Amino acid sequence: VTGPAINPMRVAPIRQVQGWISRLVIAACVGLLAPAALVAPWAETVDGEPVTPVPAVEALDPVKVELGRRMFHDVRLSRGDRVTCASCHDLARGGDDGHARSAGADGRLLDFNTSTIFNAALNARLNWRGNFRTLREQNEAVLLDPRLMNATWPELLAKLRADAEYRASFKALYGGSPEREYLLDALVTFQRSLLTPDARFDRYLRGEHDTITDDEARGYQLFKAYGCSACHQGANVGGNLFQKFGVFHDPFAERGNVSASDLGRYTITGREDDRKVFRVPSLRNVAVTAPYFHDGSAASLTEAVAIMARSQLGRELPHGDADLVVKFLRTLTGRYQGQFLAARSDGEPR
Amino acid sequence: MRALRSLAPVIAGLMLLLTYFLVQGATPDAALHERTLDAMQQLILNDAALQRDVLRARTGLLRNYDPLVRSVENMRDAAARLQTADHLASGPMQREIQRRIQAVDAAVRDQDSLVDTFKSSNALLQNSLNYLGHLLARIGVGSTRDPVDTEIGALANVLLGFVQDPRSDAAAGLAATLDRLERLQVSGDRQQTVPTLLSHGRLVAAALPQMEGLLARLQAAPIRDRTLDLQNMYLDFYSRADARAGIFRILLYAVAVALAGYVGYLFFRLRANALSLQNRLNLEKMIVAISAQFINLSRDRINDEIQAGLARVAEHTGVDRAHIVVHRVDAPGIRSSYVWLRPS
Repeated sequence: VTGPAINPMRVAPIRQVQGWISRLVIAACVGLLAPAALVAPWAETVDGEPVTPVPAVEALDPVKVELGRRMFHDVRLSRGDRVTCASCHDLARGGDDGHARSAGADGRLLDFNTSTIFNAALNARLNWRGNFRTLREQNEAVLLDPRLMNATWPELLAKLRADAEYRASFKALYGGSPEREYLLDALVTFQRSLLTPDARFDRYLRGEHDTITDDEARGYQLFKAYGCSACHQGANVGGNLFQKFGVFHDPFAERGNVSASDLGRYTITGREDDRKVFRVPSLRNVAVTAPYFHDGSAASLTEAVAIMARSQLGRELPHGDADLVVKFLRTLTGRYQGQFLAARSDGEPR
Repeated sequence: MRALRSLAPVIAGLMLLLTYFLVQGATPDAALHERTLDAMQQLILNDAALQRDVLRARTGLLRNYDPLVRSVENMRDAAARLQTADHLASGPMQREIQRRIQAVDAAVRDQDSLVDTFKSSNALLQNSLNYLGHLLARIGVGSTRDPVDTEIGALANVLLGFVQDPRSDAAAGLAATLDRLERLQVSGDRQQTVPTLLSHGRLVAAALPQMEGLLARLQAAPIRDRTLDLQNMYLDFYSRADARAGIFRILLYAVAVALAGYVGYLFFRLRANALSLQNRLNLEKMIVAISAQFINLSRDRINDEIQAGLARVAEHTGVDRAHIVVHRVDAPGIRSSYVWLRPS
């Protein structure tokens, strides 16, 4: 400490007493209230289970949510009015686009598989490399990314300001014309509403034991026994930590053609330890968000489970066990607007 | 006009002094103060919760990382809110508070990074421990004559000791058991099981000591100490600023009392002057009235009017007795005299 020393005698006695009381209150808070800090409203814990139910959607301004929903589906948010957010995040399906990797604005394939937008608000980090902490940061990056929405703020805001309906909505909500902060706030508010509670497994966790079959329950026990729940846990069954893809077996060796995107967080941090490290994806609605992995290389859930067993466990799972785990994973499909999310059919256009 | 000119600087100076006292006497922003204290308490509270959750996660009592994530997010948010905690100070003191704020912020960032590492490492460790437990339970070591089964049984035992105390001799025992198992010829369904046991066993052997070191670093994170350092300095500054503001408020009150006294003094002076003027006016009116009685007065009534005038003057002045003595200029002695006595 280079600053002047503090002489406690210079502080009036009443101030000293205030200081003691303050410290006492803090000590009491630490001692008595710390357990309460664990129990955030969204972080419901169920008898020590690693997975917790998806919380109900928090109280959000419905007008703001509606404005965000309109913009989410508006092509004017992209350069040349070509794509919307919903082009890659289909809310009528799993909140993704169903492609292994989509074509970017420049026509070339993007580096990563599109993650689902459902329950993204529950993730501690966003994107496969976890390079965004907040939906606001991530939304802005997507809007401005030349390979994604390819917009610029002046162009984008000018288009929205030219629309009388948008002007009225922004004026009513924010007291001004469309601005960067307002636009991002409305988009983020809408995305925070995209939770999918009430999956069959969530109801099982809440005590409705007949909502899943015996096979699905056995699949959950195997999911824990094989250690899958060491990474895939919490309300989002993942999304809250990083992990190396290929702890015991290199999945890229089979696939070949290793690209920069396969290096994961290494391309962000430059640390050797982060080579092939990715954000652990959420398994919520995993049955309706095929294909899987950062490169979309696994077409089916069965295939993905087999690859994970080889890569992260170092062995092949018995077929019966793998099937049971897949059955359990199918119970994680939740509801959006009262309806269970549905997978794409084989012939369905994407 | 000249008096007003000389008074103007005094008034201007007084106004400046009062304004200065008013500004200095203002209480430090109470809302900002509350937010700052709340941010510090959030830091300490969430750091305590994080420390406990890390230990629970390490021992397997906490099986999801959402509480850790929430604690780190709350601490990052609180550290961001602390950035305005230097608003009370200035100069070197402000720089010292800023330095302490940055120290807290750096500690939170370091802890965030450590927690990320902990989650990943602990997940791997728990994954392997879970799987080893699952595998060893499924294997069911039957024949003790089979050296593979014997080593698998030994592995289960030594693993238990190693997990309980990774710094003991169990580490060497685990490594030796794994080496022996690796050298054995395996056949049948053990061909897949043994390599998996070896992989996970070696991961546990390597990861557990690292985890102990990581836990020690997490537990030694200086967030609480640095926050308390900052809090002590901040509260000291706040206390001083509040006490200083109190002094200026007292000064402001003293000036107000002095001004009120001065205004009272001016009021009484004004009232006295007005009374004096009124008395003088009354006297002059009386003199005029007495004088008027002598206009066109007959000689035989002069004495009576002098006597009456004397009475009015005496009554006006409030005396008990009044005399008028008339001297001749050209001859000694009293020519005449008039006397008025207040009726008893």
